[in-house]
Amino acid sequence: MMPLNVLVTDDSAVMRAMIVKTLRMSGLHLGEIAHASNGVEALEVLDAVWIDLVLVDINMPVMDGLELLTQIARRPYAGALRTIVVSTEGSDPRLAAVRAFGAAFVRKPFSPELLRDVVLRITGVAA
Amino acid sequence: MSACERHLTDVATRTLETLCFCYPMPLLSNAHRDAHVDAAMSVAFRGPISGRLVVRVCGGMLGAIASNMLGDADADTRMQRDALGEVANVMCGTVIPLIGGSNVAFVLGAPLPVVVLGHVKPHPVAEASFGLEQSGRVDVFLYLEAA
Repeated sequence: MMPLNVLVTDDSAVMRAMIVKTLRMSGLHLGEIAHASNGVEALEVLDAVWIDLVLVDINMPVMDGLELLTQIARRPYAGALRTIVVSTEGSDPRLAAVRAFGAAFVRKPFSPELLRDVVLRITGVAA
Repeated sequence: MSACERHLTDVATRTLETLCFCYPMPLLSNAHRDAHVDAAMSVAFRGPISGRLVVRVCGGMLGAIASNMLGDADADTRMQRDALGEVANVMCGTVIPLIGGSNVAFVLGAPLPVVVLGHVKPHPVAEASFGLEQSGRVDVFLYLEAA
C-alpha cells in the first residue's frame, strides 16, 4: 500500500507535535508529514503536493478551520482528501458545519487511542 | 460547589489526565500548597459571555507536563510555555460552552503568559487546584467580565 501523506493544521506547535506523535504510534504507513499553522498555509500545501489525510483545528488565526474546509470543498482534490477536525469546539452550529463537510471530529483533549482509532477508520487502514 | 466550579473541576481533571498524562489529586498536602510558581498562561474568550481562563503550574511540574505531552524529555523553555498555553486553550475551549451554552459560538484568543508569576487577579468566578505527585500543583482560575 502507498504511504499516506498527512497535513497537520493547528496554530499550536505543541498540538501539532502531539498529533504527529500519535500518528507515528498508530501503525499507519506514513509518507510525508506536513505542518501548517493556519488555513492559508494549509491551502498552500494542499495546492502544491498530494495529501491523503488532513487534520484541522477550528480556532486558528488568519484563516480558521471552517473557512479552510469551505475552500477545500471547491478544490478538485476534495473528493480524494480525508479530513479530521481536531478541536475543543463545543458550539453546535460549528459542529453541524463540520458534519456538513463530511469531516470526522475528534474533541480535544483526546487520548492517543481515540485519535488513532478515528484515523484508522477514516483511512480504511487496519493497524 | 457551584455549577461553574463543578464544570471547571471536571474539565481541568480530564484535560490533565488525557492531555498531560498526569493524575491530579483534589486534596492538597502542605507541600502542594507551599509549592513555588513555575509559570502561568491565560486564554481570553469572547461571546455571549467574555473573560479569561488562567492555568498556573507550581512545584517544578512544568517540565514534566511538557515532556509528557510532547514525548520529549528535553523540551526547551519556549516549548514548555507553549505546552502550558495549549493546556489553557483546551481547558478554556471545553469549559466555556458548558457554562455559556453550546448553541452559540465563542472566539478564543491565543494563549498569553501571565507576566507577574504568582499574582493572579483576585475574585475568579471559579477556581480549582490539584496536587501533582509529591509537591507539584496546578491551579485553574476562570474570570468573567461584567455584562
